Amino acid sequence: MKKKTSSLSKQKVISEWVHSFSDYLYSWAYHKTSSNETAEDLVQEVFMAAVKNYEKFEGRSSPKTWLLKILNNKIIDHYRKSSKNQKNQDDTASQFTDSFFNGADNWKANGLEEAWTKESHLLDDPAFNSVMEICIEDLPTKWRLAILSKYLLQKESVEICQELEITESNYWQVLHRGKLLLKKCLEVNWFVKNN
Amino acid sequence: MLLEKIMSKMLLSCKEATFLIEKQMVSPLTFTQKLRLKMHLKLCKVCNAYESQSKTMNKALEKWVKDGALSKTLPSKIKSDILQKINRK
Repeated sequence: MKKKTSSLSKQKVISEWVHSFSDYLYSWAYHKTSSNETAEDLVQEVFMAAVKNYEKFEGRSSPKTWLLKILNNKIIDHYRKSSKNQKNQDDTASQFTDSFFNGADNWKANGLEEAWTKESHLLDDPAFNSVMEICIEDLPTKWRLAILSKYLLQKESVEICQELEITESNYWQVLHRGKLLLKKCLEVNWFVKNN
Repeated sequence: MLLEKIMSKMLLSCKEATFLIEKQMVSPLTFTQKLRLKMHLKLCKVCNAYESQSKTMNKALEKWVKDGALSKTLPSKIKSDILQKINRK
């Protein structure tokens, strides 16, 4: 008898959680994986896991914290599965950013150096900001996280390095390459077209 | 020949210079790094432009975050799918 009521209320409770926390979990997953689709899948998985493991939730933490913990485990699994893929992605992107420089590691001119300065109200243009968003999403995951952690979570370098499992000098390198790639993406998708 | 060697030792490449520009934004440079970057920027127009472009990108990133990058909404279709699955169990 007791079992039955608890199963009924379990569905009710978790449905409430979906209403209260799914946007938060989705934003988090999106920020961590840089993919809408992956984030959607992960959030679904989290709530299915919550249904399955509901009995293990003892109310010692808040539901939000518990769900976030499940989500973070799913994200780690997701990284593991894609880490080989990620290495290839990093290598290809590094080769690409290297190609912006000549044999002596100096810039190859691209004729767009002036274009940036022409637009003083760049950041007020919604169209520019959506190009920016696409360019951010396009960065290799680790590069993206290195750049964004600083702004999204106001994190210190040490913390970011720990989370990304990289050394500090590696972090500087990733920041450098990430910015180079971002610059290139903006030039190709914005400055060439609006020049 | 010797002068050339000294010059190339002292002068940074653009790749090194842009690396230091980025590093500088999160961590202080050593005295020598600062000096070499300063010299490079005096001579190199493209890296000078890069420095201001990089700052523009920072501002754009800040704006992107402020405009709600972390407050996304799960599509309602997905939300109702999840609710259906929960209540079927």
